[in-house]
Amino acid sequence: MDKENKKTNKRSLFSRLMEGLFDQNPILVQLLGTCPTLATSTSAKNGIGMGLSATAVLILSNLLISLLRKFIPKQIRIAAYIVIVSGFVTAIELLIKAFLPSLDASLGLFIPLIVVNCIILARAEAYASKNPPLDSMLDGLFMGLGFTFALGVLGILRELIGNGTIWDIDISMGVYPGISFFTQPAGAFVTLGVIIAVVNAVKAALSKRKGGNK
Amino acid sequence: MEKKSNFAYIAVTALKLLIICAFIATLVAAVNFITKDRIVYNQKLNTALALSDIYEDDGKVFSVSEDGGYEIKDKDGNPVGSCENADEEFSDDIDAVYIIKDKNGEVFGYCIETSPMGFKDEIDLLVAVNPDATVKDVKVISLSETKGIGDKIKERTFLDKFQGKKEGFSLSNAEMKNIIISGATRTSEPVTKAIDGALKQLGVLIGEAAE
Repeated sequence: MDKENKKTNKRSLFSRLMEGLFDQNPILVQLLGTCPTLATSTSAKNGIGMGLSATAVLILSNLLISLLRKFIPKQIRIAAYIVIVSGFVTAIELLIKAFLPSLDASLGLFIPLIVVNCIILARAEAYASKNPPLDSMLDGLFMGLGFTFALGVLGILRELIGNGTIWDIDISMGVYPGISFFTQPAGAFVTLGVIIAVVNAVKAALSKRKGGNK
Repeated sequence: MEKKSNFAYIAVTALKLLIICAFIATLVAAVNFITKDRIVYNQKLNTALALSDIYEDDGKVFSVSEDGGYEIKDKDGNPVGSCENADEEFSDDIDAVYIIKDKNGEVFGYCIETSPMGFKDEIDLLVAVNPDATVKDVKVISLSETKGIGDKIKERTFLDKFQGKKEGFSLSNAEMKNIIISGATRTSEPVTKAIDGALKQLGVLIGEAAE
């Protein structure tokens, strides 16, 4: 019986990870948090740095909101969530300033904006306020990984096409000068649109194959 | 009776929100306590790097000393001067003024840390001044201005305009028109005035020292 439960939990963990990365990806499917996505995905380092910062806030805020879900009165829940999220964002901002100063130099302006990132409030309201702490933490982790994955892919593509580099390393050996359009906001929109189209096409092909197998 | 229960409901709700706020404030205060020294050190390190860049041609390398000041060495690591903090009262925007001396005690420059309010937040500037009180160079240490607009003040085309400027240059309309970046006025104007303000403060300091 225990073995069966463990198997079910493992399967559900995997399916929840896939949900966060693909089926319910906050950027590629739900189109949440588009502002920081477009602004911070100028390079792989910035995209992944922003994604991981938001993931840390998502995990911690989901945990605390879930722990306090019976304590927070329904009428003031949004105010309470904002206080909790902004506290964690400030703490993460201070930690980045202290221990990752180069990331702070490139992302400094956008880290405080995580407070109003709709992914975080959406997960607090839709999941953490109704589910136990461990589940809520995992939800924060998987949704955060989905956010980081999308930002990372977008950052890598924009940096590669825009500058010919990946993680600041010139992989074209100076041969490719880069197309600066892709480092600009308009390039971000185009790249995001192409990624969403590819993800949708892959999902459609997979579901067709599943349907065919049946 | 109903009034009492309404009051109790409001009081309990407010108290719960207060408890959450107090908990979060404690958490932020604890993180601030852990990180504040490191953040100050990082800021000083940035300033030391900027100073090394400014005085690169003179072969001087700046680093942060153990007491939180700056050390000056040559490229082989030998001490070649000192960076003394002018411990005086300055106007609000000025954070610190350093007098840079060579190993014979001769002043070869001044360094002023100033942080004027930009469009969004304070902008940390480093103004390096020659012994004749003209601007040697200006560096932006940190800023949170709008990307692509306010952050144009980091570009050399803007910062180079201050080289050789003397106190009072911002009083001339023609000078201001030449310096200020159109479209980023609310960032470039306070920066320009802050640099002139730094020269003014330094003028007072040099005057006092001469007396």
